[in-house]
Amino acid sequence: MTAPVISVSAALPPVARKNILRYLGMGRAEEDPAVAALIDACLPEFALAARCQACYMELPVFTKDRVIDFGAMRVESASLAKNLEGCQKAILFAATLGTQIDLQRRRAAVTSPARALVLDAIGSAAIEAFCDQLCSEWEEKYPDLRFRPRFSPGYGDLPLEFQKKLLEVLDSKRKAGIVLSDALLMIPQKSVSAIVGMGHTGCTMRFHDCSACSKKDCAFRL
Amino acid sequence: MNVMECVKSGLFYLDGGTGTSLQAMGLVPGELPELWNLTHPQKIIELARTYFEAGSHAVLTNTFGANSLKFGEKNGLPALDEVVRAAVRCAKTARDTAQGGQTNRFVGLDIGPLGRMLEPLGDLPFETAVELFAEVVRAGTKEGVDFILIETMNDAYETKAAVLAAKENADLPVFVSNVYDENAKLMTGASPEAMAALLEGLRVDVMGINCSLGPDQMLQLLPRLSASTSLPLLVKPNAGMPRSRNGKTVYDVDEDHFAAVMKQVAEQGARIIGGCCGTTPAYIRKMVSVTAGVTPIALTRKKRSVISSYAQVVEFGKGPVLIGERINPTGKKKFKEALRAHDIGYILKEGIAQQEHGAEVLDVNVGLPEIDEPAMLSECVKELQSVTSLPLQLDTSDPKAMERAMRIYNGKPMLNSVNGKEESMEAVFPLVQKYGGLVVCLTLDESGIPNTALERLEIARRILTRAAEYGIGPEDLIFDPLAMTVSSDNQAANVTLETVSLLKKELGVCCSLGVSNVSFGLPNREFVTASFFTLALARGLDAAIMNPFSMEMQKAYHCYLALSGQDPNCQRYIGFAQDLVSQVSSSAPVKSDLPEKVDGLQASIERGLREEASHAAREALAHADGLAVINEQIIPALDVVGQGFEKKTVFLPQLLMSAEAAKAAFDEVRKTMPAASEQGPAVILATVKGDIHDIGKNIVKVLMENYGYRVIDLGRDVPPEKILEAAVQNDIRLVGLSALMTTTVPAMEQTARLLRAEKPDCKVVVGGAVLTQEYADMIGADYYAKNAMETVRYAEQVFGKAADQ
Repeated sequence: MTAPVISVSAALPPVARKNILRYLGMGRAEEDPAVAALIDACLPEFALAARCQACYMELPVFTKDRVIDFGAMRVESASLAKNLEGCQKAILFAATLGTQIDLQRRRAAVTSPARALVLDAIGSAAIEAFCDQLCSEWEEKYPDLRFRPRFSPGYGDLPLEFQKKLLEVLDSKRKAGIVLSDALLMIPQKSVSAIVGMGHTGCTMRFHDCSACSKKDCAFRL
Repeated sequence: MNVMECVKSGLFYLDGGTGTSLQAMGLVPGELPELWNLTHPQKIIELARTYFEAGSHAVLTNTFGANSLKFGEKNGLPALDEVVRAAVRCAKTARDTAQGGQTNRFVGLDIGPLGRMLEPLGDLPFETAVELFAEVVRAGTKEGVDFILIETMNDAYETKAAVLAAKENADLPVFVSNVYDENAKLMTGASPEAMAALLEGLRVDVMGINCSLGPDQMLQLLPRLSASTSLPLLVKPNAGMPRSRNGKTVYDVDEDHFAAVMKQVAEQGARIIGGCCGTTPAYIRKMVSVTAGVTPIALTRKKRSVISSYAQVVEFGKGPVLIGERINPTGKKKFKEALRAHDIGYILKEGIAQQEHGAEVLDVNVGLPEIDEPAMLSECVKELQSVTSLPLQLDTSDPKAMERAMRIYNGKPMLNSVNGKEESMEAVFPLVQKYGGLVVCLTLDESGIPNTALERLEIARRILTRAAEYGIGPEDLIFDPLAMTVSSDNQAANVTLETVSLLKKELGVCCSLGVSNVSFGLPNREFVTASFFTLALARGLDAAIMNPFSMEMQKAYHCYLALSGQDPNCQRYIGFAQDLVSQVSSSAPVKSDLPEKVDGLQASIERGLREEASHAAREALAHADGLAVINEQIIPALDVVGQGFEKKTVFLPQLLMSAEAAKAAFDEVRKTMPAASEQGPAVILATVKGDIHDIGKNIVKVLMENYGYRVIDLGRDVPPEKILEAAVQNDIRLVGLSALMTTTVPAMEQTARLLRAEKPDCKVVVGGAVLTQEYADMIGADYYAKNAMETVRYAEQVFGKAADQ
């Protein structure tokens, strides 16, 4: 019962401008020509340096109360259990845009912090776009299953510590070049790890829904 | 026959995958395979024996993931030593009991990656990595292995750490194998050429590729690998890609296909072959039988003169190479000040600007009598290699500084320099022998700089002979026949040029010159320097240490390439020249498309237009003095933007762009003002220990500088003690700390408490994504700043309104 970890490398998906602006804290602001010009200048340079890599595995899910058993590992979390309600399977994945954009941002920080900030926002929007693309592909692969929103360590009561286990099971260093620092930060910095539940029933929520969240003063809120 | 004799005598077969086979034998996912050395030694022996019997010359110990980050009491696991010792014993038992197979059988100590990322991308210090690898090497060699295989490395820097550990703790052949993707790049960006430069420099015995790709893809990459190195090549593919079949992992390349492709791999230059993930003894058996008649391609020495960075190489002898000379305090007042103030940012800017002006290598010289050169040089190298992919030329006459910098350099460096003096060669050549490098050799010796070309040639010959005694070939030496001042000796240039010709003709070596010296003492020096550069290029000069900002040098370089047939269709010349205003000035290149005039300095700053702001500042300074420009235009603009930000009509990117525009304007004003009048109060900024996200801290820095504060930027991942030390040393009254993650807030608390206890008059302001007023109170900070402007406002409270510009 050893599921394989599959590596994926992909071209950088299109990055929606509204998401870049959102990560710049300007989601609801008026368009500014100087900021727009800076984004335009940064995008091609970013696209050259980004390298989309991911690894994933499919595992069965058994949920009992707050304990989720993936066969290969178990974790206790009420929020994740709720997220996975009605799921028989889950995809565990880790995705990254690689180390080159981290160095690019460092370099920009020396000469222009504004440029570094914009590159950072593009990176955040781009890694989400890459994850969205991965999830869409899986949804196409399993048209009769309903997908849950992706759930990452640190969400709700799922401890950040769980990151260690998750990346270990995914063999993420070898399969996608993602490692953890002592402080549990993922490296490269623009990386995401998550669990996506699949079930025959229940909701399918593909897009981020800000109205579902109670943090009304969030700078990223749309 | 020992391992290397065996490798030289023909094809050398390695084993196949371990994990796949152990899982078939009952290893559960999540269980550490290395533990089986102790818990299931019979199974480990059995697997190794099967590989020997399948025809492997060498089997690797089951130690891929063995390191003390993972093993030892702290994790409730057996000690690393014990695990490694058991692994070696299993492999040796298998070797001694296998029936049939090869006559010559060996055991290789397997070393895999640590599972962590080294600084600057991650948080693991280079020397810690060296020590972690060293523990494995010591444990393995104590038990007796025949060679060391460092494999599956996807980062050049970690590879270097492992090789140093192997070399420093064992006297055994070292094989190194990296993971390349389909584009022939390591995860952190290195090309096969860059890896070849690094590994040949480090004197490893075999280099190669394993994991991630299947045999067909590796066959595609093979020509590039073999063109880049003189070392025997190792190829160890996966059995294709993993797939799921009935809940089991299967690989999509079978034994027959694997063996057939490996035959081509062997015919096309690989000498050491085996399998990685998904391959089993059956694959190896098939591969051994199919390749039985193959005679590997003879090893040839490529003799390439190359240096490398973490990502790329520069080759000499293929057209002139520009080496930027600007990171050097000689004759530069501002640079000296920056060095004394430990302003690394200034040095990094010089580096990046030179790269943007076409420098291909950066010379790094930070020698000043009053600073600790070994510490400073290695720090600059570390910082530079985290912002530029250009290879560096380490420029120092202090062998200690040279060694420290070479050690932490991520690649094969260029070294400046050695000369014909016995003392110099004895100091530098052993370093090259250990760390690798391309050395600039000055043609002078104990009796000085000879006056004739023939005598300089003689010194070069002597250097070549001495270098050979250290195993350093002529391809790793580049000769500098010394440009002397033409104003004090009118034959000086002639002798130098004649020496270039002689060195090329008689010795066939590469030549480099520090060209600027020739014009010393003359007016409009660059005219002379550039003409001399052209003359030297015509004699075949391979590299020049020069000023990339000099228009005259750029002209000479681009014209020479076009005129000497090294610029197809004059494309580079056209790219260089078409946007330039024809001029006879000697200043830095100026583009003709000067920014359009906008409505004044204040508006340019408010709109965040950097170029326009400097232009407007220059204009304003023609009519008003510096202080007036600051008080009447720059400060009001900053106020408008700052207040807009507080009212949420101006957003962070706009605030920052305005801050940068203001900074550009300040720079113009400063040129007109005496240097000493600009120092405001000093503050410290740092991202706390464990945290490597520094974007927030950098934003605060720009703003604080705008408002006249002198920012001592300690960087990221900074230990509490270092922050305290800097605070005490500079008698700091305000420290700003940043943290992004909940996991690093405790480090922030430690820092705040340490400062409170040891430097009670110092205020602590904190900020960062996860912080709240509650957190700030809890960890004992004086103030929580929600954003960069609030930090500035708090600083104004601490120091009493506005530090004057």
